[in-house]
Amino acid sequence: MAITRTPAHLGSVLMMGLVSQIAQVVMLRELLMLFHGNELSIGIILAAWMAWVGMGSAIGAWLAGRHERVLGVMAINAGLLLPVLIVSVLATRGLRGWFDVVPGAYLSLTDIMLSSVLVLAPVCLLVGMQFVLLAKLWRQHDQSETTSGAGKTYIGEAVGNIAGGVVFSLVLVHWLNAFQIVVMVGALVILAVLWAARSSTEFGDQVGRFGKRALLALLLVTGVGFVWLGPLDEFGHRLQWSQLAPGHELIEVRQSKHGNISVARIDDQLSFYRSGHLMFAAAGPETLHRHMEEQDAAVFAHFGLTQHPDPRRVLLIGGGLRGTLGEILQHPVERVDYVELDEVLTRAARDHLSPATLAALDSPRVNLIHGDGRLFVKSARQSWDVILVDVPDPATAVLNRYYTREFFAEARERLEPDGLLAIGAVSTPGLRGQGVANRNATLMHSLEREFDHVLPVGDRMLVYLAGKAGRALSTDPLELQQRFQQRDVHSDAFRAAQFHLLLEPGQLQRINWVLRHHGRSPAAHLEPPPSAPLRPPPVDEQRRIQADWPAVNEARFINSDFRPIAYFYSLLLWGDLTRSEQAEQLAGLMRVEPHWIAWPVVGVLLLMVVLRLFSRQALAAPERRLAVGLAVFSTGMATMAMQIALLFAFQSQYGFVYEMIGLIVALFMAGLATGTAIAQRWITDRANLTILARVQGLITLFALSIALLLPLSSQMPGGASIFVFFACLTFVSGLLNGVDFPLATEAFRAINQRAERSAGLVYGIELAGACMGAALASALVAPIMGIVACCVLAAMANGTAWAALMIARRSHAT
Amino acid sequence: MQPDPAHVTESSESESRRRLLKAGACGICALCLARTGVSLAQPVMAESGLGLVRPRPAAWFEDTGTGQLRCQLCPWQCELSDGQTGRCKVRRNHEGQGQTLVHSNPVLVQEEPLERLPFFHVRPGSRTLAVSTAGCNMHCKFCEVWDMALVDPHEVHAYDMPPEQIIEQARMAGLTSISYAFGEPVVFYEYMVEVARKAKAEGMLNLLHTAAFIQPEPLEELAGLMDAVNVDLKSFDPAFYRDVVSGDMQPVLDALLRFRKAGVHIEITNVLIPGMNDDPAMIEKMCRWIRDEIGADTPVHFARFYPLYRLTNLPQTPVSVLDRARQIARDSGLNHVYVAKVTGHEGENTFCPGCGHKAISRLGFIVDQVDMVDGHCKHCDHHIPGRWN
Repeated sequence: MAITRTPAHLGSVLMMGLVSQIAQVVMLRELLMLFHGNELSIGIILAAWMAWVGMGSAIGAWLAGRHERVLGVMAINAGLLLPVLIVSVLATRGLRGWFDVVPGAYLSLTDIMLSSVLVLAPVCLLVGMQFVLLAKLWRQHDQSETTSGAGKTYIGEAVGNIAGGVVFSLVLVHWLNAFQIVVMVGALVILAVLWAARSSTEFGDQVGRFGKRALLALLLVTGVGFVWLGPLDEFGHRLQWSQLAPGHELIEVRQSKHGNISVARIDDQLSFYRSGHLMFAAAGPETLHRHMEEQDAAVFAHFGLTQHPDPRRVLLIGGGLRGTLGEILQHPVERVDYVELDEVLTRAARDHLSPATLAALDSPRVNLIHGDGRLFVKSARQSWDVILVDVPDPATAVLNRYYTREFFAEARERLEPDGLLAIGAVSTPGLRGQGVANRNATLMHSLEREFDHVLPVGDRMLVYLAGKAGRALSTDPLELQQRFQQRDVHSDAFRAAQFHLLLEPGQLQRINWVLRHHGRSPAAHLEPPPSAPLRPPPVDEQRRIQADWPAVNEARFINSDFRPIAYFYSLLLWGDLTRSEQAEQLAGLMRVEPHWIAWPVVGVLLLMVVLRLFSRQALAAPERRLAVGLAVFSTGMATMAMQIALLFAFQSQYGFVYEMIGLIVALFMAGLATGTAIAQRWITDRANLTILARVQGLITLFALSIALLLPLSSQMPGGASIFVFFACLTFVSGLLNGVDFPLATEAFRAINQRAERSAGLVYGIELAGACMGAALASALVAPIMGIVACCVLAAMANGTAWAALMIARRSHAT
Repeated sequence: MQPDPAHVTESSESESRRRLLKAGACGICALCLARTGVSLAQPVMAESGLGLVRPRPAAWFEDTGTGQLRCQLCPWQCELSDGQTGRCKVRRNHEGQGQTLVHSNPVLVQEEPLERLPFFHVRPGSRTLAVSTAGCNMHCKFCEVWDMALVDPHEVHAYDMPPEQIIEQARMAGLTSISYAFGEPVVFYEYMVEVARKAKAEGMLNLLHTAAFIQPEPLEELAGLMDAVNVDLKSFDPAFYRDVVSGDMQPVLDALLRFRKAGVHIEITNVLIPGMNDDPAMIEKMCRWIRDEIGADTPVHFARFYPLYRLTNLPQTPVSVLDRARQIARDSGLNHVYVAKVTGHEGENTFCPGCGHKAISRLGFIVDQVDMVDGHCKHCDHHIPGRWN
């Protein structure tokens, strides 16, 4: 019989969701600092998180099976969680010192995996345990033998997750440091347990007097020690900084919604880091040779602008703070629209950079816009003579958006008839490495898809110039020098004669040859590029004869929003730079063919048939266990794969707007909670495998429909319609996942007769599936095969589960 | 007397414009001459391919008596079992025979201005044919050519160019020097020596840019063939050599002494990495050693570090650090101290130690003006050492 009074442990359930979400975000941000914002690490961190939480839920299930005074166990859990959270954050700050890696070097994939696994274990085990313990508490409250308690806990956790995400991004990150945040949420968990353990409640006898006093004492110590958390945070930052960049003085740290902004100084040079990743170095007020400190920016600006005979209106995306903006203004341009993503970065820059940069920012010719540059171009109504894209390399899915053919097409539309685009990328003088050559050849070919003239120039850094028809790009240093002098540009950072250095024929012809040639065979992506001839022809001749060369392998060498292959090649380049065996493994991923998925699908179904034929058991039949387990695993994997596809597509269409991403995740959680509630309330025979199979079928159809609809999203008119479209898809995805959970737990309970064990098992298997989905989708499927392929993967996974359930269900009446 | 850099300033606007135009004109002339030389040449045809590796017997191996071969080319002294390759990835033991895997298979064959290598006291404004193979016996975490040097030769495309073809390529292009540079020439020793012998016979200069991590005996032979060498002296801190370069400092210092003894023109390059090898006391110690052991007239290039390879997350060297290093070097008594990879820095120019006059003015690798006659300052006739002809 269900008891309808408010359960005493409801607060604990909500706090579990809250602390789980906030702890995850805090640890993610801390680990991202350690990993320099490497996006591949996000998938690894989440996978480690889910794996440990899953293991924690298994331990929780074991504990719940052995103890009836479950709240007592929760009290111990909560008492441990608070200090563990503090130690985990501190350990992350000092972790780099444990690895044999010199300052300035990135950690390898192995280091990232090891770090994530070690640091997250204590927190995640404790958080994972909580789910099953609280599910049992709910079952005790309901005096039920079913797994409905687990379903309600699932819903409560989701609500807590939503609240946690919103509170963190809107409030906590702006006002408190990481230590203060985790102490606060840890204290809330303890308070929730104490509330549930009041003597007047149904669980009042489950926590002894000693336990209550210990928790109160811990709260008291925490309250008194709160004031020391500021110095502790500063100590942690300095410890981390001393390992990251010794000799550099950490001046200040600011929290931005895009990451942690650190400002450092060595000698008279300032550097700006985001989440531990170097953005740029620039001059400060005391810098003796400002122009030489910012010379790279000057080269980019002057080289781009002199390619146009008379640039009047310029769009600059990123880079203005490193000196590019000031150099642009040396030309007689009428207006510069400068788009910078992060307002916190601009404020930090204003406090530290040189008077010249500040004067540029305040120039009446400059229109400073804080926002997403891609979205700005997409929604702009004006046009420009020159677009300079001075953003970092496409090493993340977000940055990759500035290097896709869709963006190049959008930019092309916003250029005047004789306009041009300039964009840069890190390179090597010889372009011999597979990662760097593949990546930079991809950028070349993607630009050539949308522009009639493309000219790459440089050695350790490449500048790509792209012009529309009628905008011939000049390789004549004399011509550029003449324009520069005629404009009477007075730049201390750049001399007219430098055009001769930039356009030195040998290097120019070699890199053009490599970039134009590479990528024109089916297996070009699997090998480094061929050597240039000993004396390559001039660039103009290369452009002429290029038409007779084999066509570009578009599947592997055109970067697009829906197949962000340049992002994958950047990961490959990172593998080369970290000198780990993972470079070979990442390269090996390129050999994976889509049809390989048929093998595990066929294998699983064959196994199901064999088990069904030879199984003699009834309810505990192995094929039932396998089919239900597969359904749970597939749902976890499919949901994550679809989420990644939706997030990738959403970012590319809508723009990287942090709060919106948080809202999308909250919508997913709301769908999850709604789906679970629907299943709990409206589906009475929840152990019925036919119903579970139908849900798998629904998820399969849903995934296929996303695969068809996603490419159409690029044609949607405006921001609002795009947001509504993605919001609906996300909600439905969460809803289907939510419906699946209580059906699966009941199906398992029907097999093993144990509620908490079933709940823990399903929770753990779903997390394992989500792990696999995150890893496969973000590292392999999305970048190499495309975003639509993620949805097809999801469909295949749940389709297999549907088939397995249909085979298994015939064994019994249900 | 050391010229005071503060006196070398931009004068009036018209003066600077005139100098700019003059710089442009001279630079253009230099490039046009080079281009003319290039356009007259017919390119040598050379086969190329991925993993073009044709093993050949190599010198500098000895039998350890335990079934292994010890490579004696560099201080690592790798002991190799049958089929095993050394740390450099390009020397191996094949059935008891020591082999080089890179003879006649260069990865890089290209014309370069000498100033890019950098050689500032060798035939200013001239061009050279640079040659390099895959492989390296060190592993600098700031390597600029990591995708060429720090790889297995089977993993890169290479040309098939026997030594005589290298010489032919240079001759057809009108070049009068061969440079073994950009990679690590020590590891393609046999190939280098063969090419060098032929080059010498043709009257061409042999120029070497190396980290000089090499054993004394092969170095003696090499020194006899080289006309000029630029040695990368990574640091004067053995710990830096061990942790950041994966090498050892002392053999490099010994190599410098041997080059000096052999009368080879020496220039030294030191890449300054902020926070890692830019300690002023260490720089001073290094400069005093160079002054005392190699000579006060040794050109020293302090090069700017840019985020590269494994040190991608450190910012470039502050120019003030390079200035300070240059001042320390000059105060230590070194006469020719340069700042490399900062285009337009006044440290790119050669100043006469006698009168302070700007003897050679440069912008990057473009030589603007040479105010010298037969290796002497045009103004005060002070001898400036180098290989000028």
